[in-house]
Amino acid sequence: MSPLKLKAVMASFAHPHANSYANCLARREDVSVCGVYDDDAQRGSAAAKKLGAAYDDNLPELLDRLKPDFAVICSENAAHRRDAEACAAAGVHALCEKPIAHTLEDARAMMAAFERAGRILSVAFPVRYSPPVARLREKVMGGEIGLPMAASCTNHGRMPPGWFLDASMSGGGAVIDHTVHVADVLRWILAADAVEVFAEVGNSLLHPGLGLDDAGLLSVKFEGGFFATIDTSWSRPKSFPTWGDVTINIFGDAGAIELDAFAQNALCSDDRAGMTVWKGWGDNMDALLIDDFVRAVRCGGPAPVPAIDGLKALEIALAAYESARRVAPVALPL
Amino acid sequence: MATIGFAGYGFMARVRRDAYAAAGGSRPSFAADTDPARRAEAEAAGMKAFASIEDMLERARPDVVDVCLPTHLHAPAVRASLEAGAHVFCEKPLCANPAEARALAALAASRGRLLLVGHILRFFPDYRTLLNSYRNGDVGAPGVARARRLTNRPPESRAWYCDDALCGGVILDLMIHDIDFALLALGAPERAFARRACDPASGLDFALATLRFKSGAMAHFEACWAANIGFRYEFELAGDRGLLHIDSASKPALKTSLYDGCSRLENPTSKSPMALQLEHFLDCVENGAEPLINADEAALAVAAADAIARSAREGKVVAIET
Repeated sequence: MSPLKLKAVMASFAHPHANSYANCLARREDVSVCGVYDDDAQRGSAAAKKLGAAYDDNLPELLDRLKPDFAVICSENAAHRRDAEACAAAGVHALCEKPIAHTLEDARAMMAAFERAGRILSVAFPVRYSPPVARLREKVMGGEIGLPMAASCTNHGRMPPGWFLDASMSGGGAVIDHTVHVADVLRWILAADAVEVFAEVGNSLLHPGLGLDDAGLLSVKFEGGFFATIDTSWSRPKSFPTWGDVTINIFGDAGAIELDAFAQNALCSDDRAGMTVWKGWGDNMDALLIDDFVRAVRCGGPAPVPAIDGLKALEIALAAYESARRVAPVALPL
Repeated sequence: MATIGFAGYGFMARVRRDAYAAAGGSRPSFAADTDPARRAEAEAAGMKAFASIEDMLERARPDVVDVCLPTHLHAPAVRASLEAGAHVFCEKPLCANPAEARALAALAASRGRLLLVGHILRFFPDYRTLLNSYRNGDVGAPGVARARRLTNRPPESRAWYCDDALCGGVILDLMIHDIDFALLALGAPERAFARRACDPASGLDFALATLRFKSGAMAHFEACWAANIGFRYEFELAGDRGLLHIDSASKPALKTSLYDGCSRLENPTSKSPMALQLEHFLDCVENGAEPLINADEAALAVAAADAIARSAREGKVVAIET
């Protein structure tokens, strides 16, 4: 017997990850993507047509009409709160693209709205679902490297286009865009919160004239004394063989583990393209994330990645900006 | 759901038993082994055990026989199973003798049964990515392939591994992985040349071989069994406008280095290649999926491996019959 199909709505395709999540949902036999909301009518109706879904430029009306089980929010960072509150008001579970919001105030309001509604709000941190990252966590939590002491981490990337470069929509550049993935994984592995952040933040350093931060080196101290650095820079040029990386070199008192989450790739030098690219062959972590979220919706919770984890990762990024302004370490919580 | 019986319940059967569980579909419910201790182990794992394959075929009538025996015992087990009307999953190599391999493929065809051989590289995500990219035309026309495979000498408890007559040595047992993959990518082979170094004292078994293909393309193979050499593979395919390369060791996803001297490389994925292979084989039996490997291809891999082994013995170029 096939289970009852869950109905899903995509809330905006502003963030390009929406395409991947929508594809992962469309491949499942037990989910039907029935609606697309987007304030960009051209982008939204094109996506809706591809999915065979209804399009609307008004999210509350779309939710009221379709009564979906859940929504995937991929609007601009500054619009997450508006869209999440619409979902909570309609009694719809939500998966929200990272960062959870561009301010702590928005993140807290979102958490409160979903608590009141008794619905799941989960944050899309796909890196947790990478099998190498999950194995790293097992090994560290299992004591293989002894007591974890410190980690040197990167989440490099290429410079993204569009609203990512408009601070009023994104909340900032490379630091807010790229701190949260690794910050979340470290909190998840250590089961500890950050207590202090120092950061060097570079504006227009790698992309002259950008007018936004495009380079960041964070130094983060956690409860219990563990410390880590995170390089969040948009430092991979267009000619680099891939979009970027997630690396964590973690040292304990009995050993060390070097993680390169996207090392699972084949090298491909192609004269037609005039460059060398790395073709990934590892698992599709977006698909594993979607599977886990759908499972949670079916069970009625709890959220696989609770909203508080999204808020705590955002707090580390916002502390980095504050530290750069003060040229001094900043204590957490903010 | 297909019923499955193991022919042989040694090391490989135990690996495959766990992979069936990970694949999440049908699982073996029978096992045949001449060793009472192994039969007891199979029964402890919830299977009904038999003292001979014939006995299992007659009394349990499994839909599928999964042959996990030493190589020199493959052919009789495969033949008996096909003749009893079962589909067959067989560990690689299909068998050691090219004529016998072709005869088994013909028998499967005439009986209308599947004979699916575990050339597992076809189920490795990195090899599949490389193959898809090549088939997509990313490197143009193929020129030179290079394959490399190093692994620790199999443990001495499996004595048949150390007897060339029983397992075929590093060429028929290890290099054949890469031979099959090169044939899959480059098509019909024409001739082989090889040299081999064996040192019974240290356990080293090392071979270097070349294959020339009818298309003009060529391939180089390096295969090594030695104590504590570690596990490593590489595959490179150079074409007339590009290059593809995979390497198990240059960039592992995880490298653990303990301060007491132990180190380990890992590339975790959500499903093992073995689980993916068994999932596919069961899909072929239960749902009629098109096999990703057919018995003729498995027989051709045996023929190419045999030509390479013969070249190493005789110091001559050996033509390959296709």
